[in-house]
Amino acid sequence: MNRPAYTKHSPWRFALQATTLCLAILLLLTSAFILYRLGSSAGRLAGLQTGKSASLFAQPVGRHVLVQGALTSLLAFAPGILLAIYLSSYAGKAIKKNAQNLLHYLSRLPVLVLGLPLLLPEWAATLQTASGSNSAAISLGALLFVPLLGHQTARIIGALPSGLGQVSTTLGVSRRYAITHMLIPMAAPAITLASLVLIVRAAGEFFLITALFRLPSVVGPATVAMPAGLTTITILAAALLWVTLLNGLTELLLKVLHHAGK
Amino acid sequence: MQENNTRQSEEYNSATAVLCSALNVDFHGIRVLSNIHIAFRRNAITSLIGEEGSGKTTLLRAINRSNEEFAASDTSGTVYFNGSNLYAPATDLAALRRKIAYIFPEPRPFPVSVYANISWAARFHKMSSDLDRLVEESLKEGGLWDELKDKLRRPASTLSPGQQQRLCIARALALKPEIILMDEPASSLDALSAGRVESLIRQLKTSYTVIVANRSVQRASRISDYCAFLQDGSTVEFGDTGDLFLNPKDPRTEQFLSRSMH
Repeated sequence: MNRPAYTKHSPWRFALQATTLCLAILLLLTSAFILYRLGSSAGRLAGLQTGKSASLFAQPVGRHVLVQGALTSLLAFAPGILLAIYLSSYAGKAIKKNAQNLLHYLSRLPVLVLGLPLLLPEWAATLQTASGSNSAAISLGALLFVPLLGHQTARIIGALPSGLGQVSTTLGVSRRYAITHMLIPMAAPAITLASLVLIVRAAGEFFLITALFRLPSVVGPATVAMPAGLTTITILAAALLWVTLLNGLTELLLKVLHHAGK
Repeated sequence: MQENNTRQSEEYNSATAVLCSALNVDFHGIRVLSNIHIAFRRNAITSLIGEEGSGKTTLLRAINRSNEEFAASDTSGTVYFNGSNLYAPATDLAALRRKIAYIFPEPRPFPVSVYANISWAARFHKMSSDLDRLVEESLKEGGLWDELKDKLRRPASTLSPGQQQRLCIARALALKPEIILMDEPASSLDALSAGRVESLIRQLKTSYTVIVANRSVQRASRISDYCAFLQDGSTVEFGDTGDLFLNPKDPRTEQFLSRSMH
């Protein structure tokens, strides 16, 4: 006798989910703390080197980057979710397949979020000189964040038992009601967790790109003196480790959800 | 055409719950149901029997128009319910599916509490302002109240498969349907749970018209008042269960029954 997968009630499943959640929160807090400390010490170094206090690392970078990441994701949240709902519930088969494949490959690019466009001199210059550079960076980030969030959310919704939609149909419930009153509430914890991981990943990638290419800051006034030597290597290593860990964590989370949904 | 209409009006009387007339269903251009003509009696249990792929599920789903939701299908002919053709363009599908409930072969409860399972679709259809009472009545009709009255907030996924299936039936009963379509409702259950579902089906016929697709002819002979034998998408024989089992008129029915009973 086959029991539907969603009836499996295993304490191990909850333990794994709880551990993943705790690990994500721990990583987030630890990373924020390390960045804050690095930012403070690097800022003092940068300040000593350049005599200016408004450089990237003169500010508590971790807090700024995370706040920017959070704002970016907030801005991207509604369109991301709508994209996911469209892809999972409304799009035709061809659109669904092609769009999801495209988003899948885009999301594999490690420097997608906030990274690549900042490499373009035009963007860097614009962001550097624009009076509302923070808003511009956040908007740009949100634009890049939408497909990533949409893709992850669509995968989460896709991992839910597919029979639920059919049951809703046979109960005469409208698709919109089924989405807003069943699908989204059920997927909400996973979407929240995935968003958290994505925020940190976005912040990590932003930080990595900025450090790698010694780009001007987009989070504050435009004068920058990048820290040199050991500090840079430490930052790079931390950022690389961070991105790798969080990408792995995202995959693990999605695999667990997918397995639970089978 | 006039002769056809006269025939339909003769057959569609107060004892008829649903009348399928010249019903054809195609999936991707392949005919799955061909010229079905059955008058399902009110407050009776009618079993659809036949080999796998004979069209039992398609016929059930044609009656509440869910074929078109699950696959690209093309339906012609008429299905009369309460004096009107269900395939008329103006048919309100939500209201129709509330009146004609459909139970899946395997239990498909929503992964929420017992209470939410019952009240979820009822809320959408604005069935009652007193949901507590509705839940209690539905669970009583589903034969689950005594077992679950203290466990209403328990996740439905923690129930046994037999209880889950009866919960799905109770969920459908909460919408006060007139007809209940059941697609092999006990096929995925153990003997004890299947027996409970069978006795529940027998109880339901006092208030509802029940149409059951049955792979097991033994079960069909136990629970049903009328039987329709389908083969390759066509009705071979339809009549009183006793007559059909003891004195089949068509040799194909006789062959099928002798094969299935031994």
